[in-house]
Amino acid sequence: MLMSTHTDTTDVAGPKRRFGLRIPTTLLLLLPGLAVFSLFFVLPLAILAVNSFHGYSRLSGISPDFTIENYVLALSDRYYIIILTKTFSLALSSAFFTFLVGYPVALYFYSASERQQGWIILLILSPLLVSVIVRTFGWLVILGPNGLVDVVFKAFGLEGGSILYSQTAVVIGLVNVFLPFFVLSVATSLNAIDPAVPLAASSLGASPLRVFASVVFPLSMPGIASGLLIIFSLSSSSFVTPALLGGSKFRVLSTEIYQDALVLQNWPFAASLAIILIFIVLAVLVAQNTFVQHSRYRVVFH
Amino acid sequence: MYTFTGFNRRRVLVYATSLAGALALSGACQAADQVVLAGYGGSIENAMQEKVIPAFEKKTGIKVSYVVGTALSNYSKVVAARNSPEVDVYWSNGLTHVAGKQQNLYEKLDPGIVTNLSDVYDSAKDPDGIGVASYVLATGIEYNTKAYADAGIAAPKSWNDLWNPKLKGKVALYTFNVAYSQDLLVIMTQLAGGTAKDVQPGLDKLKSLKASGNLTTFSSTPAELDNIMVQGQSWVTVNGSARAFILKNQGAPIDFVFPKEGAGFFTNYFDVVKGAPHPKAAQALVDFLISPEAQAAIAESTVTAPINKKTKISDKLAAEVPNGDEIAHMIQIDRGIMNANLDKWASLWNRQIEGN
Repeated sequence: MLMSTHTDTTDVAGPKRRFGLRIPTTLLLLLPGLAVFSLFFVLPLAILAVNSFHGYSRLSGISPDFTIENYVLALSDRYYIIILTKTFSLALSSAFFTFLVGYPVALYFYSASERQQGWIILLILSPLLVSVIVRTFGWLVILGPNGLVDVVFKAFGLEGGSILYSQTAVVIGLVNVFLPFFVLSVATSLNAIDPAVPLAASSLGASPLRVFASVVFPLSMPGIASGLLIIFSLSSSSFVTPALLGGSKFRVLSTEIYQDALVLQNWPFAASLAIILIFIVLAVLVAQNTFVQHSRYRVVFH
Repeated sequence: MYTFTGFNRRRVLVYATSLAGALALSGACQAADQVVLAGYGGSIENAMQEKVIPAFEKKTGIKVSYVVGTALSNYSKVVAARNSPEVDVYWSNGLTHVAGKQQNLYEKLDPGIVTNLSDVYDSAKDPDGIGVASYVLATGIEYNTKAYADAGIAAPKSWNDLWNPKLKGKVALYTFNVAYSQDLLVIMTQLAGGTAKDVQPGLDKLKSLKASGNLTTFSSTPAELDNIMVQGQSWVTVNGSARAFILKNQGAPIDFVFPKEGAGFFTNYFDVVKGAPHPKAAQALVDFLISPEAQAAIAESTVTAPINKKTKISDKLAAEVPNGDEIAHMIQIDRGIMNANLDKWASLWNRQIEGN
């Protein structure tokens, strides 16, 4: 069993004070959080779930009867299955590419001096000061026909520089938007590594590459795992970036939900798509957890 | 031992009383004369906040709170709050006007209060007296004049000019989510000799536009399409006249054409929400919004045709909005049929036109 060396269990006041808190007071302290959570998350989700089993007609509105028609349509129609597949593949690939781009940045942050770290954090966070919509419009210009990428491609006599309205374009946009979240998640994990551990590895004769592969990388796994999960769930539910950079050629669940909920006012069907989206994210969460529990690195997660 | 002494009975009582007092006070403020208008953002909002609303508040003493949204997002609010409405007057579009009527969301206008109704063009009145049009504009062809001149293409005159072989990859359309594309489907169907009951002829026409290689771009928002058109990524599109003329007046190389077969007739409506919290003030607001004074301000800012016959507008605006003859020649769209079939049309359009 791993035991943290920082908790000083011999502190006289420590355990006594912690367990002296009477239960009603603990509950009282939890109450605001619980109230907000159930009122603004659990309750709306429950309403959404109930709504997804209702029928809808454009002339008479939502009918209160119980039907599984919405789910049958969403999970059997080829059109929606393609959209489900695309959503899944978009979330996976944007998580993967954020990892490829973000991990070296986090590693650089880890090895930098404390003063440099401040600047790096500032640089990493600065894109968050600009709204996602503005940044996405920027990509629209860069990736579109006669945009920067297209012009460079044409200068070399190449075709296909205009990659707007494709999965590639959406992934580029999402990686740009989500990079800070991933870098911060991994950097936190890296910074928690006791500097003595990699030093011990090198003093025992490990090459820098070996130190990275056997010590630093495995110890940063919790950060990678939570970062990937954050990016996966954010990507699968993102709306602005797929709507603008994917356009009508690259449709995902979120843009489909928008059309059904807002344009067509078919809230029950939109609700069923939203519930399916939640289950996709939940399934990935469970899968990742199971993987972590059985991997050889499971020890670093405790 | 840690004990929590923050709350004793007296203190709780003090907090509870002051909270109740604050709630009662805010309730009292709400009872004062006010009215909630859910309308559009952008240049319309500026005109409303700077001219129209202050004039109304000065004249009647009723405070207006202006909720910014789109026709669709505001409609969702009206539907969601149908049992306890928060919005008094909802600025609907042609489709949500009909859809809301169908679902019994709007109140009839009171001719006793909305006296300006007698000066409104017949085409702008609702046959059932529920709501009234706010302005008229056209759905037609918007094109980039510079790109056309550089490529040596004559200005478009007809809907068929979208099929010009020199426009390979240069035609853009809105996605089906934007009203102008829903209207275009009906216009194309009528041009192909069909009726709105079966839009397949219109879909086939648009499919051929895609097959010709001209139609390659679909834009999901007006702002995005403006960008694409002004930058010259696409040269021609189907858009509302107001949007195109606002760009033109800002100096962009953009112009708008009423196609010779007829442009689409496009209106938005002022609808009084059923069960609105301030029913009298709502009727008074609608009356003011269709007065010559308010109509002039709204028309000038939105580059649309006013619906009150007595409205005085500048010559410049008169040249840019559909006039009486043009309105008579416009293609009317049956919003009732559109409303009943919109989900089917969306599904057909998604699969056949935009594709995956």
